[in-house]
Amino acid sequence: MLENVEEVLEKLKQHKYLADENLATVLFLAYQLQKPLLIEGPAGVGKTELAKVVSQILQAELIRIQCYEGLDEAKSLYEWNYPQQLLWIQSGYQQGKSWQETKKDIFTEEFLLKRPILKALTAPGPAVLLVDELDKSDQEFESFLLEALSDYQVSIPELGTIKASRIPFVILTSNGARDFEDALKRRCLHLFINYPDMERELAVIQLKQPELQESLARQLVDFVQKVRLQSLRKPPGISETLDWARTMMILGVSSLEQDVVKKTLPVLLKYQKDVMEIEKQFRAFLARETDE
Amino acid sequence: MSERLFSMDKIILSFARDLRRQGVPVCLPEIMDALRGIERVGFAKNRFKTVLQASLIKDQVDAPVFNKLFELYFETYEPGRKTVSGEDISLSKNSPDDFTARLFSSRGQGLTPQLKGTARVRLARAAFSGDRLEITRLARQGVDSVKEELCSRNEPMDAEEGQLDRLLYHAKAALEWFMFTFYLESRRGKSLVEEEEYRVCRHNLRLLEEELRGLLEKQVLADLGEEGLERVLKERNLRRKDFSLLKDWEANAVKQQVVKLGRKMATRRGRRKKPGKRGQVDIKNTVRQAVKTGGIPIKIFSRGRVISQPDLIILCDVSGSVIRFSTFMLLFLYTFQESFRYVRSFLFIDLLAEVTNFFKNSDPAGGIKDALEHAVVSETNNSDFGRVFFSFAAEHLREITPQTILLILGDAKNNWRPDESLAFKKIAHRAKRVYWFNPQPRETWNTRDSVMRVYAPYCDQVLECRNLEQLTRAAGELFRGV
Repeated sequence: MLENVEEVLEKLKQHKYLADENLATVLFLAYQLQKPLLIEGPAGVGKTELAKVVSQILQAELIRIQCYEGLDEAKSLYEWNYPQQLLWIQSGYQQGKSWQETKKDIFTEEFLLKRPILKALTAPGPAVLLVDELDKSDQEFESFLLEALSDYQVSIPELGTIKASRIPFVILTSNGARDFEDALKRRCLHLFINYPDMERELAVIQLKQPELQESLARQLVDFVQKVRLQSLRKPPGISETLDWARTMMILGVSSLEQDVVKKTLPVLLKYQKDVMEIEKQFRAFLARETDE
Repeated sequence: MSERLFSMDKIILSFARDLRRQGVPVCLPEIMDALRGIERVGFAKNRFKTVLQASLIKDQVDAPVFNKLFELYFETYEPGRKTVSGEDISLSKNSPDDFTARLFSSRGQGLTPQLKGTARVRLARAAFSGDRLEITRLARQGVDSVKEELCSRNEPMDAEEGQLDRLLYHAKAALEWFMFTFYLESRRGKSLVEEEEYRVCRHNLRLLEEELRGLLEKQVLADLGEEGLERVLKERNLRRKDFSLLKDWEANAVKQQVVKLGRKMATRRGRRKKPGKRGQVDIKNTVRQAVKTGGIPIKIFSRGRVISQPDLIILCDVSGSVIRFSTFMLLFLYTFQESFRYVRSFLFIDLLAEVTNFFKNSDPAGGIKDALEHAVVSETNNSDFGRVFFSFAAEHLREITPQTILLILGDAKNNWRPDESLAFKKIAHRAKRVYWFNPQPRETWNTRDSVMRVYAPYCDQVLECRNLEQLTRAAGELFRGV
């Protein structure tokens, strides 16, 4: 469906995702080589959003799995539906079925609960599997994932190996909180998304919030770019900038003034410590602008 | 086409081999990915680079060495080529003469005849006007004078660490770079130089610096061949660059990687517990199962084996010579605190101070900063390992149990003070394991005032730990016993 890099760029733009050529090239490559794509970058730069857009472009089902510490096979691969199996055994017993027959029945697809990874492998149509925030999982989960992604198959002892009918597009995202096993990294193509520069961020704001005045948008982005240069616990991502822009729209602000900034700073920054840090300096950020 | 691809295969293979020599983990399937990718995307320069990067480089920390190697392989060096992103900028509002007059003369008059034609005036004019040809000429001139200097002193280009930076410094000095920047800063402070002019100058200086560096690298490559390549790449290799030589932005990249590595270690053992074969008897389960057999416990069930978590006690030298290393190590250790039953940390120079409480919150970087600011660790500002071990043995010996892993971070440079091998022996004998991570090159241990040999016999392992690669290995060793 995707024939070349230009087409990827075009389609991303149609779906209101502004990408540079680097991102489009890697995306195209992952699609063509049928390789999982590992996207790393700070929070709020549009990693998850990219997966959503890709599923729209490919007109594929988006199957998402949110990682956390302790996520296990039963929640990520498959689980047998025990209560239903019990019911079946009981009803079989009343009908006088032999154990041999019952055993054959209860380990069939009917009693198999498919969890996201298996679901993505056995999806009837095209699918995008989004493994979100993989850095929050633990290494045990990484190993299940590895098995599933290396051959696109899952082995279930009672049923045998289930192979993917069509290979799903797999996107793994990470905020870079921890490193992964070499084996996993080896199997993926790697893409690093960083905070956008001034021009790109402005373009994103204008694309998503076209009603916002250009002069205000410019002020907002300029401010955010300066904030990012400070050492903060959680620098604002694009999504925070967008939230902030939306806030300005709702408040009906036409230019970035000190008191407005002060009141709305918590939209941009998520930690009180960061808010306090920026409050100390934000006058300087604004003052320099008015001088020019 | 197949012919061309065949030779391309060879080039990519040799490219990957050079990456691997720098310690970047690149394996065959990844090279295959790169080749298949190039087939589909083609040779358009930026995309070609993207393909190689996406398939071969999986850690951001390897990006600088990749970029440099790519440049050496696939981009022919052209003088005056744009290396710094952004447009060419120059100002026509004021004339260069006017600018240099404001910069160097004291009373706003024209330049004195002595000043005219000096290197600093030439540099200032070039930085102000942004003339590409002039910048290139200056870069050549700077590099030539470095070469002459090396020749006259009969010094060959040697393969010493940090040498490129030093050559760059000499080249800059030959252009009177520092003289110019001194005037630029001070005149800016007095508002004799406009902000816009300042920005332009800084931008062009950056261009010149890139060009100088490019030429110097070329020189090193030409003089030293294969070894020169090694040298040039090593400067960009954040895995192998000495902690103390990292520039600020590089240090940040390494810090990120250190934290990632620590978190990986911490999650190595999953949270799930499985019932073990040995261990305490699980009464509840055993009785429940015994009901089936009329109350006779035929099978004994046991509770999951309790994973023993050792304690970690860290003694960390924070004297000036090792401070970079110590900050990295502390940051690293605090990212996997939960893998230990508890972690206690002490900082020292010649006094010992416990700083465990500074790390109780979840912000290790902030904790380290606070600890370094507040802990009283020094009387003379010179490390004294002997005194520190002696006072540790006197005050904290009892807190060391057979569960304790003791980790000492420091260079063992004792400033010719007496050592305390007896105290250290007492401490070491009580602990489960003793590790010593030393940020000095192994060759220099036991030379000059380094007393590594005194303490080494009592340590389970003494490891050299001066860059990211060695830190990774040392961490593996430390975790083997956990």
